[in-house]
Amino acid sequence: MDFELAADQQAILEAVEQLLTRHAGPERAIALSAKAEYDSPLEDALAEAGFLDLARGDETGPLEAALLVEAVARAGGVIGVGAAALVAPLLVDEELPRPVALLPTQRELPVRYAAHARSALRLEADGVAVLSLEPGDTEAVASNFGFPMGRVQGGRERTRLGPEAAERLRAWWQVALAAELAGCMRAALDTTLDYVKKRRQFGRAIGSFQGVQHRLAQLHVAVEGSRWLALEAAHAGAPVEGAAVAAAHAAQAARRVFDETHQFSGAMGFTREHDLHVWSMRLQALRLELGGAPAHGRAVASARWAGDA
Amino acid sequence: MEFDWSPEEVAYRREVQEFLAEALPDDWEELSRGGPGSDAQASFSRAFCARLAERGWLTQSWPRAHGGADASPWRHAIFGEEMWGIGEPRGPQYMNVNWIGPAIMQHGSEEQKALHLPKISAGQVLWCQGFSEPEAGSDLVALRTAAARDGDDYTVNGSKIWTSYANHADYCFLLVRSDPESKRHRGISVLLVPMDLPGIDVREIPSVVGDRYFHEVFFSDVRVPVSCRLGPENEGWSVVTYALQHERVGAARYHRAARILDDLAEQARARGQLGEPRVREQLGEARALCEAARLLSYRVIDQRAHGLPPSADANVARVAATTAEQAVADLAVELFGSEALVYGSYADTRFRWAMTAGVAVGATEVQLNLVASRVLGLPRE
Amino acid sequence: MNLGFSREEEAFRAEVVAFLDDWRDLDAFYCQGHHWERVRALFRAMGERGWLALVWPEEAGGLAMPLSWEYLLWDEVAYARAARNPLASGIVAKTIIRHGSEAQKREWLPPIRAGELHFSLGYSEPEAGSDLAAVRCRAERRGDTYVVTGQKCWQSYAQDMDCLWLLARTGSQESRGAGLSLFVVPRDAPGVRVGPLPTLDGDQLNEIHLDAVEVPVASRVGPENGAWKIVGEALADERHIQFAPKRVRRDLEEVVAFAREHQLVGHPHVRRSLADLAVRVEEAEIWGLRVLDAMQKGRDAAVEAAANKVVHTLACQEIARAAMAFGGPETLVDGNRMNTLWRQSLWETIGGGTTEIMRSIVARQGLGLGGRR
Repeated sequence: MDFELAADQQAILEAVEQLLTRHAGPERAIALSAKAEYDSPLEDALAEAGFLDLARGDETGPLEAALLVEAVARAGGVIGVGAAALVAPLLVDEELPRPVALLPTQRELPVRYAAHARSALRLEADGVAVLSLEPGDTEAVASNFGFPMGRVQGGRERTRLGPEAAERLRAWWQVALAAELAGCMRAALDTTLDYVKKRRQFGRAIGSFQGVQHRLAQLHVAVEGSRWLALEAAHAGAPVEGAAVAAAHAAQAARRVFDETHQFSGAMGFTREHDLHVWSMRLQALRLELGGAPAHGRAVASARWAGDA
Repeated sequence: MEFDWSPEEVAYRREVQEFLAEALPDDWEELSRGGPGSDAQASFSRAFCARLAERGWLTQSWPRAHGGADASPWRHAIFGEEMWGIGEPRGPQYMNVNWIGPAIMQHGSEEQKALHLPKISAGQVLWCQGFSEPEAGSDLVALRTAAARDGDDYTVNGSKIWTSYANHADYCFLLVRSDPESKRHRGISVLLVPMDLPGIDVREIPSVVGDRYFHEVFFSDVRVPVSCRLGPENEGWSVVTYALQHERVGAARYHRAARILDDLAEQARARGQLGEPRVREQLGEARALCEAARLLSYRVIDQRAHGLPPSADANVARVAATTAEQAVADLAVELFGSEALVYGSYADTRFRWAMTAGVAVGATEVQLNLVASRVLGLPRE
Repeated sequence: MNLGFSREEEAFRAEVVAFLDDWRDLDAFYCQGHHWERVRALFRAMGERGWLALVWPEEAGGLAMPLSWEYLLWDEVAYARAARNPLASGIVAKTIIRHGSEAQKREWLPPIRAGELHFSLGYSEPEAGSDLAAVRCRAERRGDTYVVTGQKCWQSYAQDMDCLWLLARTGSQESRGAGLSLFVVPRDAPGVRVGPLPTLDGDQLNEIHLDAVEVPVASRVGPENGAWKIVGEALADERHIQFAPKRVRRDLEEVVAFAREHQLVGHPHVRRSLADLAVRVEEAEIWGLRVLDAMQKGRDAAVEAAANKVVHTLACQEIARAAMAFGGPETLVDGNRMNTLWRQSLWETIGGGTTEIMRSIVARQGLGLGGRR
């Protein structure tokens, strides 16, 4: 057991952060979101540097990939990094054409990045369908939650994986989701912390009011918890219970982070001129994925206390 | 970064579990119902801790120089989890090992070390913690209990409140104001007071948490030898800070909460509730909170294993543990409905237990203050 | 104690409901600016009936009805989602009636009563949101005019309104609340510039720049440096219609309809969630009535109003949040009704006094817990 980053992990993370400073950030996220575009240059840069292969590297694994996913989310990257860096490599051996979208069983639901995706993994009752997508197979839908959204209407099935894979897909998806939520929550909280330290009302910084401090401290506890749970679940290879625990915790925490960061950012945070929405609106979208906190919670219960009645 | 237990750690946990299965009496469940402060558990702890001492487990985390085994913080954590998970058969003695002993090692005189550490290591002594006062609860530095220097003694006058285990304790780790002119953090000293000194009066405070849980301790002209003072006069606050940093991660509360949650799920199954989606959601979400608290506690243990100085991450872990305990307690009451109102029922004991979780060891508010200022860098007024 | 309305009041309510039937197409409770011309027409039609001056005294051209009538009117308008109660006939008119000069009354009350003249609030500034006494926008007296320079922000609807109801500093900055005055400033006065601040609900707030805007002394309402008390009073005048409980009821009805439509009402957790929300709706209604009751009895309803705002706005958010949870990812699509409800609810706990400020009022004035804000 060791919670410190090892030297090579530290080096990877630093290189990732450096790349993200050049290729991501809230300004870029806002510009891309306005046009509902996918950040292919960012994804290509990550791929070129080998970061999308971390999950199956010789010296690296899912933990390093999860660290990457969290970092990209924190930087507001508009790419399906969870799917590309974590879920897809751990589900299928071949390298799928990017972007990769993750599709729930229910058809036609709006999903992140669908309109740009060239491949998709669809969760089916009895397995996983690996799809190739052409431009005509998908349709963009207008949405305001920080991700380009779309629906997948067609697609060619490349392969089909068995029932075991469905469980794997769900678990890795939950881990990726938890890591993305953790990154977005951290950024939303940090943005809010900056704001409450500077913003003065009644002659003092609003961050000096004890009522504000306590609530922010609780958010910090929740965000840290989500982050470590996501990392542990990744490290452990997405065990069914651990993956659901990470997702349940993150989805629960995200609700509070959304509410509180907006409440403390006041009118400023409600406008599109302030960066908070880059992450907060995503939290809302991510919270609903895979059935949201209630579904993750039920999944925890099924895994831990099997045999329902 | 990695999250696996080593094979030795896995084996050690199994060894502890096997020992517990053998060492605890058949009626342990009943015996432990009243909590670690009950008469039954306090007296049980004396025999039980002696056995732990024999096996070299009781103070294994201590340095060899003080009779310990320099066991890793992780081994100590595993041991603590197994103890808390089963209802803490060490009774109040977990405090001795976790922070009273270490505080004496750090700040005590040679005589104090020679007197107290062997007793603690032998598992034969009970302590209580004389911190809170009627006018100084979470705000400890408002304390007023006075120690006036008189030759080789202090004369102590005042009272302490909410003192768990005071009815059984042999010693009290007592905070006093030794400089009457002083304010706040300055002018506080720590005294290691034998509880059989004349002038000490212990009264039980009837409480909703359980019988014999809280006490008020009155000090009337109690003469305490100066040799009982731990650390320099008027500089007791640094002793307390040191002690509390050890205290905050010493108790594996998250583990107890998780075990109770497992229990709740079994009870729900027996009552045919486990199939209800909402019950499952709530159980799952509470489990997630327990797991988060576990990892945040592990992070603090990890810092200790790396030899890093104590940080406010300990407060983060403590808040997470409290949150988990409260979620589990609330769920107990919700699942059992009106049955939870029956005194002594399963849900009732669980609920009352968790009520204290957020209050003991510096209310959650104090922990949050520390997180806000030390971790988040939020400004003071 | 009688928690119902009288026969006359119920008859009036029925009249309002019948009137609103002609405006069923209007869905302007949210994003009023997208429908402004039609909303203005609604206000004109209400003006013709005297409804914008229901509780004004007769000498001011009003109908002098009890406050309950005004409550019922705007409760039904909120339920119909037709519009929000306008600033002009409320805060502005009631202040002019109480503190305005005869000339001001002659000039402004008739067009307000007719639904022809509309105002936006000009209180908040970048450095003065919850803390209004920190207002910096400066009004410098030069003979018969004031020269106003400064910045206002977060004003709803300012892009469409005819005039600003402007709070500006005429005293020193240190005088805080005691150095503020109120002005009526036409939006098209030279030097006034209104710019949009796009918001997360798809609507906009505005920022208003005032650059050496000349305002006649005759356009100052109330005494110089005397605005603080007036602003407080004006707020108090509107407490019974500020947060109409039927808006919450309508929100829930829409969510229930959505749940039915998507065959969700059979799920036990959906049923439980809807039942919990139904309780919140009742709670909001009781608090709305408590505010009305306190005001009708001539009491200062500050505490009731603060509690009402907290209960009402949190209920809105809970309902909208449940709607998103029921609807899942489909609700992320623009134009989805549940999405609209959710986005509209975001602002509620911030605008018009944050939940934190409201709770402080309840703690200090209601529970007698002293201390600063």
